[in-house]
Amino acid sequence: MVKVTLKSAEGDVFEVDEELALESLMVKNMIEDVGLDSAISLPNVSSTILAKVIEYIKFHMDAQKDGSKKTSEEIKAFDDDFVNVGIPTLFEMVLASNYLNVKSLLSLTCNTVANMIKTKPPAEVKEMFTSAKQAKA
Amino acid sequence: MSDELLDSIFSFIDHPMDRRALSEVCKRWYLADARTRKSITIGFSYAIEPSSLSRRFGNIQALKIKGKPRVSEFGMVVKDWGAYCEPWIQELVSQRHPSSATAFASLTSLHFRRMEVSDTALRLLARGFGCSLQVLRLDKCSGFSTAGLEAVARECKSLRVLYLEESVIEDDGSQWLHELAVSNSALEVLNFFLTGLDLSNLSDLAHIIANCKSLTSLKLGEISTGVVDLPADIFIAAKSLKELAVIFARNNISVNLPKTLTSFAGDLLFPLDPHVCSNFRELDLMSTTLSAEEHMQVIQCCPNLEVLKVRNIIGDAGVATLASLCPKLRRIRIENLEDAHGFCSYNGLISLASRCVNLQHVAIYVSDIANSALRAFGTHCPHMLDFRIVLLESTLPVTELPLDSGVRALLQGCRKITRLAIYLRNGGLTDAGLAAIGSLGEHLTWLLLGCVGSTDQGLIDLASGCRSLQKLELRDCPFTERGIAVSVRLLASLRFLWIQKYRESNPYDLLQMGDWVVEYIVPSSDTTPSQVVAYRSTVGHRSDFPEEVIPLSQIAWAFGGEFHI
Repeated sequence: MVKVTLKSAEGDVFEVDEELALESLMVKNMIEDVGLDSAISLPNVSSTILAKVIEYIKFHMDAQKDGSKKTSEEIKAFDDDFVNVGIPTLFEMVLASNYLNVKSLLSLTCNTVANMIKTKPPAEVKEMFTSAKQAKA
Repeated sequence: MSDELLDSIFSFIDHPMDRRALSEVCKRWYLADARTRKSITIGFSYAIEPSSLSRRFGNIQALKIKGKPRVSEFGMVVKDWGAYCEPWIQELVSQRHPSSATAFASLTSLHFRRMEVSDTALRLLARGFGCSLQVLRLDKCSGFSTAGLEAVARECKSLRVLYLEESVIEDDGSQWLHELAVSNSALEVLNFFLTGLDLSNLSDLAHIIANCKSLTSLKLGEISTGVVDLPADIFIAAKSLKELAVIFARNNISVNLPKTLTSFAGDLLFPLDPHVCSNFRELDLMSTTLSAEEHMQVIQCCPNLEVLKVRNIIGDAGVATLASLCPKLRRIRIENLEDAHGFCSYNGLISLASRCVNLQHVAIYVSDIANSALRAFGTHCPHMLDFRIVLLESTLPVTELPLDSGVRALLQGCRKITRLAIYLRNGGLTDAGLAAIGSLGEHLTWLLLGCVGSTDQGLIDLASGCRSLQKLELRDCPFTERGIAVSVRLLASLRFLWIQKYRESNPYDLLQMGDWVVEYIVPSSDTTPSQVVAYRSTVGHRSDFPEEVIPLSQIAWAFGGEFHI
């Protein structure tokens, strides 16, 4: 199996299967442009978030494989647990899945943010977004 | 976060209340909401100007506008009251025009409800939208004829939905249906049920059934007595048909119904086919003349009913049978129509509530009532969303009034109710009952009260709660203009008010409601007393009202408030 090396903002190196790396349309384009010889640098994604994104893609790739015994309930439980993180992390995942262009993760994280801001009064939503921004800074 | 990401997040949020809250977070979110809003419902056509819709929501795909007050359905609003569709259509069409093309390029679905639609407006709409219009619903509208529909059928060849149910349509020939038959193969829904239009030439209908492979809902006008050669298998040819409504003007007709049907309205022919009826989820027998016994035969064949509309001829015994045979009922309407009447009372309601625990929508005209009936719904039906009860006028005594404890138990048990109608007889609820609605009705958005309450204080107590209430209708209640105005000021979400037969003294007291448009409608005859329609509007007073409508203005009030009519 061909391996791809991804390099996070902090310079940490993640070696993953090519099949997995191609799930990110951004990485896929990079590979098409520059080939597999050198590491793919992802300066906008921190190591923590990149590890999470890889975990997400890996789980879903395995779940889709023939012979996978994962039920749709198990997949949903994984997703629910996956996005059950603090607002700052969730926002970082929205930005990362957008940057890496992983459509399913972008939908999952955006939908999660949407559910969090639904039914809340405007002032509370404002507060939530401001604190997320501060935490990031 | 970029605008693009904000838009992605917003695309997961549909509920208009959520959207409204988000648009108030900041200017950037206001713009993101405006960019990404897919559908808009304007709850009252005079609330805003058409141009403000185009300025803010130019990207919508679907628009619904509601016009006249609901009571217009019962002939209780003066002729030519207003709610004209034309200014809206003019705005939509002019914004879409290729020379400007500033808004509504994605608009494909239009729904007008209780509005006055002219043939001119329909022609303008047909030309302006052409093949981009996919859905047109003229729902309980009036003012147009089949000539306007012909223009729509000719120009809008991609219509998937043409819905005209309960509109009052002038019959200017059946050319419209012919035009539809020759130029459209995309129809999924064709509905001209209860429009006064009848069907005399079946070849167009057969054409439509043959051409429109995706036809799932077909609700027709009355098939007239002139039709003698109705092919028995005409509806069998519609392979995807799920909903059918049909009324036959003549007897001795034999028609086979497709087994795909899940919804039927109109004349169900005997002998019944149990293989067809057992698939029915929805049944509307309101326009039939079946006897109570025939109703029982029908219900015995339909154990899977979830939605039923019937006349009260079925009586308490019929309701009890229904309750035991159709436990899946979610929605029921039992109306009192002319001709044969039956007697439905708290006994029927109690059996219904205890057996049909999934009920969400209940609308029943009863001949007798007691607290135990409302309590039964509160105990057994936690999913209730919409509850309407009307006690019929009669000289017969009522078992139990007031229903204060019943209403309290109903709202305590059914926590999700958003729409409530309680129409009883004088003294039907005391002020304590109204206060109970106030303290338990936090989710109510629509409320109709008839013949209830004792004093203004009851209404004020109600208004101290009910913080979500948007529309309020009061009829035959002993409240003064001053009491009503004080209550309206307490109801922060309220935006529409209709009142008739209140304790009239000085209509100008209603101006204490504050920033409202208040229209007084003079009595049109001895039998139609005065009424008041009041609403919140960003436009202010309208100018298209008939002479019976008198807008009350702050200025007149300031100059003495003399009231002459």
